[in-house]
Amino acid sequence: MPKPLMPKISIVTPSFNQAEFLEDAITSILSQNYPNLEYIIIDGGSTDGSIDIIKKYAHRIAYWVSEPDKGHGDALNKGFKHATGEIMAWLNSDDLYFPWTLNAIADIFNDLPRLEWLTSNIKIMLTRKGLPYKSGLFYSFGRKAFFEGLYLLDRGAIPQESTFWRRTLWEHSGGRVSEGLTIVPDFELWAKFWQYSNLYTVPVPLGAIRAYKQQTTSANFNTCCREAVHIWHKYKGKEPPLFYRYIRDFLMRFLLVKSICGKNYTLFFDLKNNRWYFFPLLERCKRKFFRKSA
Amino acid sequence: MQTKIFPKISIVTPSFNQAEFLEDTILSILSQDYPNLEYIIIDGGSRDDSVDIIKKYARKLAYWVSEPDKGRGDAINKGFARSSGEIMSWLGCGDMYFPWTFDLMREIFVTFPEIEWLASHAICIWATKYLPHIYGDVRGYAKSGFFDGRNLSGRTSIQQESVFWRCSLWQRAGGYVDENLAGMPDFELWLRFWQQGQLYTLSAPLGGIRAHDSQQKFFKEHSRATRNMLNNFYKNNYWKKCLHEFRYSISKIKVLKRIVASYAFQVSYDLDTEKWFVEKILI
Repeated sequence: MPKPLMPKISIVTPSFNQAEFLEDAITSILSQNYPNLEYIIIDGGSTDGSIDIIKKYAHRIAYWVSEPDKGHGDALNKGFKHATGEIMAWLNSDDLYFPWTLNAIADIFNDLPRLEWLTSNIKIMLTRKGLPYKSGLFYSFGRKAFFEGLYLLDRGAIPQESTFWRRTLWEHSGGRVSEGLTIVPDFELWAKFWQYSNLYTVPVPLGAIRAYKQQTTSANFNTCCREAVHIWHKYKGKEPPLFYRYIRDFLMRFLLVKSICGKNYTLFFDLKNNRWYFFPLLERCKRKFFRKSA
Repeated sequence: MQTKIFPKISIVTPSFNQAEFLEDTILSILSQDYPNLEYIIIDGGSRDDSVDIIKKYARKLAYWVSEPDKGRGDAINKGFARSSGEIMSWLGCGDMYFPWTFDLMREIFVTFPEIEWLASHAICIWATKYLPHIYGDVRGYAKSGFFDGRNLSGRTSIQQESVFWRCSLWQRAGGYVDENLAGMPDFELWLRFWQQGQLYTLSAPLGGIRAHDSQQKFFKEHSRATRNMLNNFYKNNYWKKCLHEFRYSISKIKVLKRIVASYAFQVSYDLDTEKWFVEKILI
């Protein structure tokens, strides 16, 4: 079967004084040798060895700059202004992609033209040295559940490191991330995306985060949670009444009824036809990942 | 400064007429560049181009041979007879490790000298050579749970591709794989290992099986085979067998599960001190 064209993928890496991890992030993307990649690094004027590392790979990076900026959100906006790819994502300088990520993304977006954004329901955490020490499985993500507040930061957030989206969706929802928030620019972006499109989930690990004490999110976790709740209210998220919440939690925990949270879309790989397909699930994704061959 | 210790890892791959997938397996092992690796391929006299593929990588193999044998179990035994590593495992043809597997193995086996047998409870299926599907609803494997039949094939089975063990445990358990079993020789090996040692699990994925169409029809057979092995284990004592089956049925009832729960050992990582530690959890 001839492979269809590879869509252009744009990845932005905002970095600031993380020379220890930056090289791992860069090589995890460039070593995949994806032919149609546009990789952009926006450095916030680092004073450690970051710039030397970037210069080492400069011939394979589409655009890079090192100058003081106003924070995480500002760097991302600067980066995405230079991005021209059809599929977009950002990778923080301490996170990693896997060797199969970009190829898998290209295949999925090719096979399902109506899919707008995509995430993985597997979260893999890395030690400081970059070895995975923990993997966790989520349920897939549904629209109703988001507006009921099930994906707030402390209740199982949508993993940023494994989320990819199409340019159309990005432009629909304003084409920029919020700069005022120093800490969780991703949560607000998801809130915007949910207004337009459903999130599809794939049972393949796409990105891994490095967990350590000084990590931005874990160091200011309470502030992050408060910010997230604030944004969520702004985008019409509403805590349902208390008795409803009790019934919902009871049904979800003891009877494993996920349908109360609405439809979730999970992707599956069809081995026989060698392509991806999806169907709406009302429960958590089942253990059977492959369509039975006839 | 402390020098890094690299214990010798021995991997055996039994192969027979699966040239399509053999190269992926070989590359998933050799591309990790583990400095103290002993990789052995035992081919059962394949008639397709398996041998050509093996010859391509022969420079990096510790030993390889291609001659008719009595089956998968025989090939594995022949391979381990040639091996001298401290940490052992076999990887079937087509199955693959993750890029970090040996580094993670080294780290854990060096940190904990008492761990003799390590597995991962994240189950993985490779759809193609770059698509791992991961699922895992188990939190660990307990000894009593195993003998109750919780880990039979088709239930929450222990995935052989992500299991590693030390040579000492292998020697104590007899140092062989049963050659007469057509399918699931690993379950019989686990049965002997559980009598000699304790299984520790990791939650990070280590290896996975390769999905192909022909596999699906064996699921029922494997399930029956493992059940027979467990029944053979209890064959002198009918009441004991009944008791264990009863305990299994209790473990399926959510409210009563606590009665038959027992401890599983899990290797976790502490973020504050950045050290690995062993955790006992009730399952």
